[in-house]
Amino acid sequence: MRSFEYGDREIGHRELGFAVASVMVGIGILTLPKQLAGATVAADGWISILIGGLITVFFVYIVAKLGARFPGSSLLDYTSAITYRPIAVVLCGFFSLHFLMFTAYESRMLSMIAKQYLFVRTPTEALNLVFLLVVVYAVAGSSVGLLRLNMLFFPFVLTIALAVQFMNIGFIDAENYFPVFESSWLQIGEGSLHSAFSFLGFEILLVYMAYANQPKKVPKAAMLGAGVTMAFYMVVYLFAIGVFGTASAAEIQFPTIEIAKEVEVPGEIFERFESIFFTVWIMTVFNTTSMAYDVALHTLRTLLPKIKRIHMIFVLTPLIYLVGMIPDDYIELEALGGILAYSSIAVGMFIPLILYIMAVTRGVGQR
Amino acid sequence: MKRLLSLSVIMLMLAIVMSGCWDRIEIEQKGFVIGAAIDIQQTEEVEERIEEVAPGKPEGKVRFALTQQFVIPAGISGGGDTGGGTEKAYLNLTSEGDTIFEIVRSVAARISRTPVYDHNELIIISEELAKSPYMRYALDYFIRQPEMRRGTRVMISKDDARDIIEIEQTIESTPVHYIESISKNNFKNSRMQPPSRLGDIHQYLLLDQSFLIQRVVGEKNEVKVAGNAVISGQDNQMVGFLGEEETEGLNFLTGQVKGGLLEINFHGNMVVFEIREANHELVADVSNPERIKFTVTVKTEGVIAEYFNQESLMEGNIIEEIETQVADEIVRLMEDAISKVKDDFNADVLKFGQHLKMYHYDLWQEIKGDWETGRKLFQKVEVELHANTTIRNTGNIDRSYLEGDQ
Repeated sequence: MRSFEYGDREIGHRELGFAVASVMVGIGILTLPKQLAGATVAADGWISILIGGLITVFFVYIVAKLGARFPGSSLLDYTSAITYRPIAVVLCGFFSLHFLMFTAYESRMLSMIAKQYLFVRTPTEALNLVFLLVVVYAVAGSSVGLLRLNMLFFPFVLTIALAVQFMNIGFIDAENYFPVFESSWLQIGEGSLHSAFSFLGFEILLVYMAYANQPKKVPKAAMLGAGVTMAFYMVVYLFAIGVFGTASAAEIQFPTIEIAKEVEVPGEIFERFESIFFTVWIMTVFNTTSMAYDVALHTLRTLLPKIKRIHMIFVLTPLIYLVGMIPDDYIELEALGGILAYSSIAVGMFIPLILYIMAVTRGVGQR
Repeated sequence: MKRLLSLSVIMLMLAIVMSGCWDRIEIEQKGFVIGAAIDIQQTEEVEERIEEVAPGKPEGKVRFALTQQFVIPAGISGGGDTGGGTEKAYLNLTSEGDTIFEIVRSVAARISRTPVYDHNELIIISEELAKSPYMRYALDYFIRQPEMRRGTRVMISKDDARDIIEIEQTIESTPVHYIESISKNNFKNSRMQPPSRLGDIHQYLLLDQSFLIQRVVGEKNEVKVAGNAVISGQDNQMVGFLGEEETEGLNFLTGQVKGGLLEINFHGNMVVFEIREANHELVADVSNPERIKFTVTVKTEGVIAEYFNQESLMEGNIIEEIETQVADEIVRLMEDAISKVKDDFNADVLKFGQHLKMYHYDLWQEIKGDWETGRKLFQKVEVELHANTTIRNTGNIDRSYLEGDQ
């Protein structure tokens, strides 16, 4: 029996742009309006999103540029080329661990939110298991297929999520946007930190750059992808503040879901619009999670090339499931999210920046 | 063989996975709650029974009575063919308890269907509860539960809230739909406030801002939206209510007038001015924070809708005289509203504080603790009122009868 396979194991720069945009949209989109409303005055959080977004776009550029210097080589290969092999091994180990934890966090968070709003009586354990099984099915195949899936999903996610937002335009109270520019720089800074955290995930490029058939074109596409996500978050934030006001938005656990619940379609035939929003949101979280898992598997395979990928999946998935079930409640889960955000800053910002500077000064790789 | 094996494994998995739905409730088994009414209730009988059955049960400061209105789909669709034509389209169930959730659960034990709150549209609170500090307790459950919506309307009833959702009118199938549809008619009437949404109330409670909630009165077989309850920002309790005229003045002050009419007595006979357009401008002079001065300018445009006099509207400056008189009437309405909310209630439903927050943020940060409470700066506010009216049209005719016709 022969199965169909794609002839090329390469990916275009456009697909990578979509992948970056899609991986950035995750859990953060639900909670960012709340965090910004708590940190800043009225609607000043948009400045925070802009600052956080620009920082992200800058580091996306660094990551893509770093990958573009070493076309077709894996993270382990080019880190060894820039530094020494032992350091590269440690970095790659940290990188895979980070993404395995990230997979556990995303899937647990998804099952928790799904339980809260959709499956009230289904145990979280069951939801988490089912979701992880679907993710396993996705990563068992080729990474290229996974990246192409982004291109299929992301336009739907963006269109429907934005449509749900714009249906609330009648509920916006313009008074909620005033006063403007009253937040202190400290508050803006805190907000920027929150937004930068919610944008993390673009470090998948460190691995996926190896597939790019035209690496030189990737930085631009990836930056564009990050920019699209930033604009999307901005819209979501401004709607949450306009509809709820800063005081309420700061108290609501997931303002973005509440926005979807607010929608009232004239005629009162369609209620419960949040189910449509949930569908697209789960699609994008699925993409984020499966790419994170895929990236972790890739890096582990370069460290331990003798173990088959599918065997690795069979060993790691139960571990991910168990780790994901460790946090007892939402607060502990948030704490795990906080730790991941910091390790993400290390993996996605500091390490690539240092590597890039070293590569440039030592003249390693293509220019 | 291998194929057969894998196929049977897949079939087995499907059988397990597809039947394992924990959350399945057939739609026939769901009891849709469309409205709720909350009263304060302290029945000694119930208290004694609790004392007997569960002596150590923790007790709250107040006991609520919650009436839930369930919709019966068979009653709505008529159900004529099965002979159940007299069936009501709804069912009201009342229970008593220390917390709302406790009542919700205890009602679930009394009804054959599983209560579902996704479609809850209306919450009615009795005036007694609104005047107590416990209204915010009663609303917490409705704001917190994920299946509830922030768009749910909230109203205050003059008497017991449970009586209001008993009142049926033949046009709408259930009392809740009936009350909800009258509450939305504010666009036709400058004397009504837009319906209050639960999410907005949450915001006001968080900000300790005074606000209004539509007030309903039930009379025999009719429900009427009559004025608005004023909820003070100081303690989130109802301090009184504004009648229709005061609400109209308030709507002019806050720029919420969309349409409506004004009656004046001109030369001994009534003239009706129909508002087609109203503009509103609010300016604050904060040079003296102890005595902030607000200037409200209202500009209205409209037509003559009814005119009982025999003098021609085209003659001389009759139109100008009517315009001035209408403007004076608007100022009078606004003055009444101001004196009521400022002197009687000390509740800033005029959104003057909101204006200061929006445009004089630094000053507001300093004085917000002294606005309604403390130094009571709101009561010391000076208000200057201006109104300007333009009559664009006199309708189809000038006069409906001539001199000497009497």
